[in-house]
Amino acid sequence: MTDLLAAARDLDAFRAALREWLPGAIPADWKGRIHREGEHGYLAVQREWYAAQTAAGLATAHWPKGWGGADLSLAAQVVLYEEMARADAPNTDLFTISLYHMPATLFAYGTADQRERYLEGARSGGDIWCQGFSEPGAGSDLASLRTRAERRGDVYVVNGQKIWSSYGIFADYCLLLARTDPGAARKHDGISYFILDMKSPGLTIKPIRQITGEAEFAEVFFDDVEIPAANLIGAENDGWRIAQSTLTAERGLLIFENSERLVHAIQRDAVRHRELLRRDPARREAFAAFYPRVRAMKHMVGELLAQIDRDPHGGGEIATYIKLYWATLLQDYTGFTAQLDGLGGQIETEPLRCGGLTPEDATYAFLKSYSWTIAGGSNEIMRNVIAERLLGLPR
Amino acid sequence: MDDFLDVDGLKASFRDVLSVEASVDTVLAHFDHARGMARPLWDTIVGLGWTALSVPEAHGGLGLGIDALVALYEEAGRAVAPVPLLSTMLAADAIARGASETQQANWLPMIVAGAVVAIDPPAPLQPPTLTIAPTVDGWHLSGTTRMLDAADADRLLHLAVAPDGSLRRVLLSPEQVEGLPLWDHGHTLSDIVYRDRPISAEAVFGTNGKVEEALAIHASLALAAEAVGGSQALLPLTIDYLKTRQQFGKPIGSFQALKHRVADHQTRLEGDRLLLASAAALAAADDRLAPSEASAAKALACANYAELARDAIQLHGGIGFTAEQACHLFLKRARLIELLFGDRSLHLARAASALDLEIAA
Repeated sequence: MTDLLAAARDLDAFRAALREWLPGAIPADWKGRIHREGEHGYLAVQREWYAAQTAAGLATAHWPKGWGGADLSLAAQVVLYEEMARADAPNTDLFTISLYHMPATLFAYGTADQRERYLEGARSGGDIWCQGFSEPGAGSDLASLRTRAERRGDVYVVNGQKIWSSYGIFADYCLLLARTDPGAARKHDGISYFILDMKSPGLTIKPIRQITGEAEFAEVFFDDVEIPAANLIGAENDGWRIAQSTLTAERGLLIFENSERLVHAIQRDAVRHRELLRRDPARREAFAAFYPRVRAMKHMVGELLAQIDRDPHGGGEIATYIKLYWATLLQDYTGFTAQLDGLGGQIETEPLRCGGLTPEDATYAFLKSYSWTIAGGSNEIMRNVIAERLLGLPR
Repeated sequence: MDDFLDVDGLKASFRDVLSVEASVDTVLAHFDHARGMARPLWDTIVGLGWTALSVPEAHGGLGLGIDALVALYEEAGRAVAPVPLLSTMLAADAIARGASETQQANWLPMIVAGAVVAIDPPAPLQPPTLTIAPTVDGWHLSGTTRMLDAADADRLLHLAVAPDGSLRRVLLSPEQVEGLPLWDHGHTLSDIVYRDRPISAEAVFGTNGKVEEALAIHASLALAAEAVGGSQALLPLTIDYLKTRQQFGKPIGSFQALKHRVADHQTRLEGDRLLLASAAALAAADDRLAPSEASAAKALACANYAELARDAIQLHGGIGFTAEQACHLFLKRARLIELLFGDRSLHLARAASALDLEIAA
């Protein structure tokens, strides 16, 4: 299976190899399985698909060589995601933190022991990671988080509560932000970054049912949970800075994957609703009006990737615009197309969970779009950031 | 040729000149008393050789591609320049693509030297309203056409349908064309009527779908560029005002009700800018997606420009409602170009035609 990666030096050959490989590698009838079996089917599909990608070296191909990766070029990763979207493959969002945020954090700030243990666990063991950042009282104002970690000998003792941990009920490990110095002058300066084993005694994990029917998110309660001091990432009280620098890790590729799926979705929707759009000029024009926005989005992401390619730490400004542009476009688009199916589109379906934008589940996609308009900086926070940090307007 | 072209450098030089010759004060003064083109500005532009940019070298031009023109249109849009640049350069393009060698040799140097030409829109953007019929020694032209900039023009380049359905372009010297004032004081509109007007054979050349499509792409890119340029001037102007205007003891830009709107305008502008760049690149490469992408850029950038310009006056409050402040220049230009050479509906339909194209791919 090294053939695929060997071909990656030549982008055309890589694309051809992927087109040959993908149909047999994507779990057969994955949409049907999830529709019929719900969460159980979803987990099975995620694990099978992740295993297939790992076996081919693709899942972690973007990691550096020597740490289980193949140093896959950005251009080759783009091809990979283009072909995934084209083949309508499920995305592996159960493993997003495992594949991007955890490694990005450990590559930059982890100890040798941490890297050895956790990178390999994610790569070959299929470890699932989640994030423990938000709290009931610390959402948009994340730096005001209050979950407390107190050093006692070789351990930190954690008490408090986290919320909105994606895939928290399935996760093996968690990237945790907790307050280690409540007396710090700036609230940002008293926070540390930890690796938390989700099987630790004293943890209670409760699923949160969403408006989509899924329970993708979890609440995590800490009652004297002990974390070994060796699980501290970076220096004590340096957690905010580390989290900021790795939160944006791989944002380019993740958003690229999504925007590619939208490019394919608008094409599929044009076919799916062809008769309706042909006989209804008002809706035809409203539908057509999305096309320039989808193209603009695609080119914004292209610009981001070009900037990251020149400088791995670059692209911050355009990425900020993209977050707001994408979230708004996605909600507008799915909200509109969901109504094109008439009352049939209101029939509740079993959530596909990992299908990206599936025309048959348009109302689900619309409901799910709030995860972009609220999570990771709500649209309103993004507007503040753009106005204040990028355009220089006063706070 | 374009391989050696420093478009950014070219653009900077356009901007340097226009920031003086078409400064906000100059354009405001023009809007205050004049209707139609600003002759001194046009003379400056001609003197600098900008009307020669895209004209073939064989006819006294520089032979530069669409990217150079897009840079020029963008900077002209930034200044809300009151000049018939698009009309004239589009006409030059039509002549270079369709006219005979003799006609090109007669007409193109005249444009390089400063002749203003008004033009009927490319066929894909507006069906021709004139008809042309052969006579013993030439043609008869009939019908009514509504043209931009015709009152200022030295020549008119019409589009007419022949009895067999084929298309002809006709270059005429205008006779007493009356210009109707527009809210955008940099342009005028004229209704021109012909009844069996005799036309010599030398004034007529054939055009076709391919040529007209190239002109449609040119016009779409030009207006998208004008919108992006105008937005890039108006938005910083508005942001500066929000930073300096104080009410309730603080800059009004600190209020989220205002700053969030500015953030949205800037975000949309980022998309417009990159879509325009893609459309210009596809046009330069003669890609089959070029017509769709150019129309997508035109529809999106012009709509966003019009919305920004509408909101900019609101964000400025009372001062924005006064004629002495620059906001209204942008609003009037934005609302004109949103309709010019095909409205939003037409360009959206053209843009979305790519959905079928891409599906077939």
